[in-house]
Amino acid sequence: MVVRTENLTKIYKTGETEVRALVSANVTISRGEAVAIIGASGSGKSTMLHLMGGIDRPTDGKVFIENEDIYSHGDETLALLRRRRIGFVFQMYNLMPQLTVYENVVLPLGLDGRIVDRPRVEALLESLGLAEKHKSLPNRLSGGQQQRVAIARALVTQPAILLADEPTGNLDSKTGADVLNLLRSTAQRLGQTMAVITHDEKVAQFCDRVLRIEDGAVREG
Amino acid sequence: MKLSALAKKNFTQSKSIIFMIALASMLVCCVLNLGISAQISIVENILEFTGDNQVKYKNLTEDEISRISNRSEVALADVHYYVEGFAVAAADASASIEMIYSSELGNVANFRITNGRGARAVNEAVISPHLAVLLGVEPKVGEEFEAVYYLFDEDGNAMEIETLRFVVSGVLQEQRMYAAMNIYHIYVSKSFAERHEHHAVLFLRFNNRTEPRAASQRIADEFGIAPEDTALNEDYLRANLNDPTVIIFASAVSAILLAAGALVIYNAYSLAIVRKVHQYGLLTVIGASKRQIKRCLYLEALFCAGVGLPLGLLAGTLFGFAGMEALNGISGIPMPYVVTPLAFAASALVVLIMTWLGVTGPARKASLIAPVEAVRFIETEEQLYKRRAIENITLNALVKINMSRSKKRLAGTVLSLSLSGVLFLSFSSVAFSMRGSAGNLVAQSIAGDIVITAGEFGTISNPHSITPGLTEAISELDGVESAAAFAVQYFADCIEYNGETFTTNGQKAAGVSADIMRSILNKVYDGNPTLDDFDDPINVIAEIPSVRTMDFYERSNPEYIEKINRHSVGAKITLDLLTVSDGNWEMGETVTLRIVGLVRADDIPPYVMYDSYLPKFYLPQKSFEANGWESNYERLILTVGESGGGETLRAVEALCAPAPELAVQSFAAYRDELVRQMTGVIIIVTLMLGVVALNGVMNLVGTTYMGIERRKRELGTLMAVGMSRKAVGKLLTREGIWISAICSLISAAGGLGAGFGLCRLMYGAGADYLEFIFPLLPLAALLLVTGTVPCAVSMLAAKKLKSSTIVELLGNSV
Repeated sequence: MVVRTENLTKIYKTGETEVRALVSANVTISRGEAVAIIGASGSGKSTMLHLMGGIDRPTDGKVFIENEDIYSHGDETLALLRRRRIGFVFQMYNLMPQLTVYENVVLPLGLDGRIVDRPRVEALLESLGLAEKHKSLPNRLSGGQQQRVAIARALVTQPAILLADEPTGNLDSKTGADVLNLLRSTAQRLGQTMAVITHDEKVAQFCDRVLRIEDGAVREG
Repeated sequence: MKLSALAKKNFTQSKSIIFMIALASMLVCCVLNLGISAQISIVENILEFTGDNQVKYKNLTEDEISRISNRSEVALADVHYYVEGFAVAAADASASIEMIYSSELGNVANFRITNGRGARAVNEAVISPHLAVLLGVEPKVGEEFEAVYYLFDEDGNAMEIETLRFVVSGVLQEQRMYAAMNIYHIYVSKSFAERHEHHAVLFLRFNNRTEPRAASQRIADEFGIAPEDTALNEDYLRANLNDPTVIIFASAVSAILLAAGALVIYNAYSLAIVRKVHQYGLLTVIGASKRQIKRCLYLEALFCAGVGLPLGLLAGTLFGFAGMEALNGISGIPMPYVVTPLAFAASALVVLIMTWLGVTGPARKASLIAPVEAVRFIETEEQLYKRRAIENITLNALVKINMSRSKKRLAGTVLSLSLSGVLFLSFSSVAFSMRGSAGNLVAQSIAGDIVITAGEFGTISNPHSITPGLTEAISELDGVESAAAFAVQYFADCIEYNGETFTTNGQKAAGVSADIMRSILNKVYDGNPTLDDFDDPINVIAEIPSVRTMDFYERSNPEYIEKINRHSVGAKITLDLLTVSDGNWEMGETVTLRIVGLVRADDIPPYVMYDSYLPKFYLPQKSFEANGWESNYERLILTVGESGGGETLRAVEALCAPAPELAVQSFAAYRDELVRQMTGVIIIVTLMLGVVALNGVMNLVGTTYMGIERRKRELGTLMAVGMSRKAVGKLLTREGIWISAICSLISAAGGLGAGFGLCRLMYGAGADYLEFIFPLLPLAALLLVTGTVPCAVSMLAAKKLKSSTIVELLGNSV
């Protein structure tokens, strides 16, 4: 198992109001598997992704990445886990505007103090169709190109899991389909495990397995 | 809802902008009030001392006076009848009083009649308040007083003529300069002057369109007035000329203030707009035009200025008052603190310009916010600059990239703090140097620990009242380690220059002790004299003024240059001996002095009184006596031990008390008083500049916080891809350190450079006591602010960031 959650629960409290975003969710994702997590807006799918990615802390329950309970660690180790074992792709790309395509891609390696294997990065950029754009700044790229940079950044560390949050949500349907195809093929080629959050059934068809979230509860299919 | 109502609503949320405008107004108003007050005081002093006139003519007939006075180019013609001789107060014969009739008394600036009217009847007089004190009467209309009228006989001796009885018909406004110098005038009626021997002088001031030098020459040519009967009022003309140094200095200060203020307001508005992107975008969505959005911003700025400006003007006025009080402590001649509508109007104008400059850029930005930004709540991508690609993105590389990503904003932030720092350090350097040079300033007038100086030459109290007996008594006092007495002899020096005869009374030779003579000989730079050379009593050492003084003479009194150029080793100088007899000057025999050595005036202390532009001659006391010159001394300079200075001073004062014309000055007391007063000024200056610095600091705080606010999503992303909170904190702190370093470097280099330059400028302008003293304390204070504030602000902002989760930081995008 690459990812396993145990009774994962997240409750948001705003004054008197209590929102149960995720309730006792148990999910497992095997190595090399591509899982789609689908659900309506406000169903708790983004919360699920955030908790699996270690960027939020659960109210209750556990998340295991490669059998390691990630929330048993403090912030420093959690940050280390994120940069080594998790790759994120966001709907809004979240690229660093001041960095070029190449610099955005190698950013997680730099943060980890690793020597950049330039040929490997260039090959990755090539496979994502970004070889010509490696010196460009994000604001010079189209939405599809920016999302491909975000995918490259997520894949560069060869993470245990790639988490994509509505990766096509900000793209037109053709570009979205292109990006999805690219993401799927690259992941397959690299044997990359991934979880994609979407509300779009078409997106889910690209994945091996589909998990549905409704009112914070997760079920197969 | 109208846009003006929205602007009004926004302005109530713009406390920081109002505060910045208030601070800027306070500073400008304070500087202007002080500047205008100082300028008015300087002009008034000149007006009072030299008169509100540009030229004067002597030896004119009544008809000529009338014809010249009625010329079209003449704005003011004031006929003075100077009564020959002088008066003394019946009760106090020590001070002489001039009697003058002035046709325009009361109409001339600084000679206004505050009570009553001019003198009409022969026994009527107008007096000033300080003369009333001398006469022992109240400065009131109807008071009566007596004065004894003296006239000089053919031999120049004062001769009592009659006792005069006057009734005060009017009281003049106080003549501060004359009061400070104990110079007295009774303004008599025309009929009184006409009944006594007098000479007439016509003073003219031309209208604004007339060039005074050309006009005065034209009149002189037309009426055949001899050059010696024409005198241009050079001080007055100079006072009305604009000194380029002052203009450059004032322009530089104003430009820095304007730029710093505008930058602060610009940044404050830029930040406010970042906060309100959503609001302006939504306004665009619902149909507001670019023009309307701009107008909304301008209105908001106007409302802010409407509140901040009056507050700032009030605070600036009060601050200026405190500053002037401190300045008055130093100057000796009190300068009134004048609050003029001009200062308020100019301050308001400057602040409105600052505000306009500050709001224009942000208003343009606001008008260009795309509706989509509001809908999606994203910001326009900032303009990014080209730079070299980086292979490996480390923390330091990120810091470097972040620092160069928005050069304009970074420059604005750094500049506003740095400019404040430059202003603070440069002015503090000058104040600090002035305070540190106080000893030099005192040494220019006090050449020992205690200096006793007799009254001036030419007064009734002469000859000098430091007798050999008094000198001996003082030198035997406890604590006196050495006593050097200085005898002086005055000469009249006449030369022909450009076809005219120039006579200067007051060239003097000083007789000094053998010890002092040795120290003077050690400073001789031309010639090789020894004490033996002075066996011939006509041999003297001649002083040569500094290059700076010579430059001044070159411009003001070129005939002095001619006189000084005669001074060379081996030259024989012929002078007329001046003596005092019964209080009158007498020109005696012709004396020839031979110069055996030259010494620079800057190299020797002020051994004798400075009462003539012409440099002095020095010779040993033995030679001085051999010449048969005055046996009393003009000055006695004492060296006292460090202990007992106070007691010795009191004992010296007690011995000198019977002769009130003796001035006893203590180096330590004078220096301490000066240092105390200068410290007061430094505190005021520091407070004022502290306000400027506060502006910069607040701007930096706002910019840093807002910068981090804007970058929340970025920072969230960095955390999401694996950067720890600690590393994010380090990133922000290192950015702060860089800003600190840049601000500190610019402020320190600029401030020290400008401070040094200002000191040199002031030195060149005559403040020759001033030496640049490294401003360690102000520099440390500045570095403390510039070096820590940006770091501290970044650290605080990073700490604040800890309260947000990564999801919240990323939240803007999802």
